Amino acid sequence: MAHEVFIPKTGIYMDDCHLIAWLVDEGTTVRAGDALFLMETNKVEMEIEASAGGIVHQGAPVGEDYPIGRVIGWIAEDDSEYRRLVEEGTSA
Amino acid sequence: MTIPDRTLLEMFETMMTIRLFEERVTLEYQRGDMPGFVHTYIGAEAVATGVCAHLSDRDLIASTHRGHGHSLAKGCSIAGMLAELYGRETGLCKGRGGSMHIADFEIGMLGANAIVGGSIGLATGGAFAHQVKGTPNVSVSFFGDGGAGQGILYESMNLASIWKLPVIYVCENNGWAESTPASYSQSVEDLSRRADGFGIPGHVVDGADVFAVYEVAAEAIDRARRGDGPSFIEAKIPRISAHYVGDTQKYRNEDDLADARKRDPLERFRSELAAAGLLTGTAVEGTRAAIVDELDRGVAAAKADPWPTADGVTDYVYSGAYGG
Ligand SMILES: Cc1ncc(C[n+]2csc(CCOP(=O)(O)OP(=O)(O)O)c2C)c(N)n1
Ligand SMILES: [Mg+2]
Repeated sequence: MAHEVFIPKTGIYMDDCHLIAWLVDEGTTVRAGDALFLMETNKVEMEIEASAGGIVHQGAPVGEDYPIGRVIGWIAEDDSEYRRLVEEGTSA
Repeated sequence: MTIPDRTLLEMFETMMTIRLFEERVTLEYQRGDMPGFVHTYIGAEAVATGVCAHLSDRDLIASTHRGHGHSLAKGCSIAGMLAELYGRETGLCKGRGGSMHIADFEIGMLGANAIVGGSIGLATGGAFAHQVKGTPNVSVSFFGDGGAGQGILYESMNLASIWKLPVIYVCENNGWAESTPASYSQSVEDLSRRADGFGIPGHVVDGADVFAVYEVAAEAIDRARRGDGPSFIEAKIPRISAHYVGDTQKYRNEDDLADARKRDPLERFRSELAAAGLLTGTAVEGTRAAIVDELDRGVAAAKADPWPTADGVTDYVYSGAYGG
């Protein structure tokens, strides 16, 4: 099953997060621990790492604010899962 | 020292429980449903496990801000801890404490502690209580290298040495206090050397090696039970987890983190048990599945459990003895 990529809570005081950039292109294969996206909250920029390895499908546009927990993409375990995500036009 | 096979397998299960608990809590915390701050015990599992394997419910421990591992190793229930982390009325402290204040007096767990070094006076006092009551029990204080900077440690060690209190000071030295390296803030590399100044035996042990921790803890705990007084154990542990969940560790270089990961105590113990023919891959997966199942049920139950209510805000603040 594809792993959800979501906006993580990173401290006690946290408002919505601004998604600044994806740090890998759509369809890139990543390993767990690779930098995945850049977000900003409470005036701090943070690189968020991939929680699992696989193929990245982006599900949310950059430049917008998202609440904690919002799913913004997926990491597919293999090609067929990735293709299914793309075909379904899945977006968050 | 030969450790019985059954004890080894129990310790493996405890270490795996701590690891999976912490991984699950990290994920659930990031999802946003858990209040407060969370510090995980990943990388330190062998210390709480190797020490608490020698303790009964009547022995006491006092813990730190990074207390989930100590709690689990001492026998706190997974469900009760999860409910506490979610702040629910069903939690071990009725949802009033959260991650840094988990306690369970029934089994001798005096509490996690948000005050760095806060365990030291509590455990020393607990050891004094054992001595006054004449029971053959011990008391263990867990604290970090940062905690070793608190003055109370040195006052406590002096008293404990004079009075021969049955207390064991266990310093979990992961080389960091938040973003401050121990090499910058501590006068000596081996903090256990300081015990010598109080006439207390000090030991350094590889805290990623559960066999070594178990062995040195046996010696210190036997000494305390015999009435011969305190010991100091410094366990050098890899800091695999960040300071708190959400800490991006920009102050740390990548080699330091990579080196820490290479010292993974759980993976080391797993391969040692496998090499000794005590553990198969199937057995590991079976243990993992059982723990994950318990975590699934615990998380689901905790999320559905009731919150404390506003009219209960003063409950449990005073003991009944004072008419509270
Ligand atoms: C008395 C006190 N001072 C400062 C803090 C803030 N603080 C929280 S954790 C921490 C670092 C503790 O380092 P260490 O004892 O080495 O434990 P570790 O986090 O490495 O496990 C500090 C300074 C605190 N909670 N209590
Ligand atoms: Mg430390």
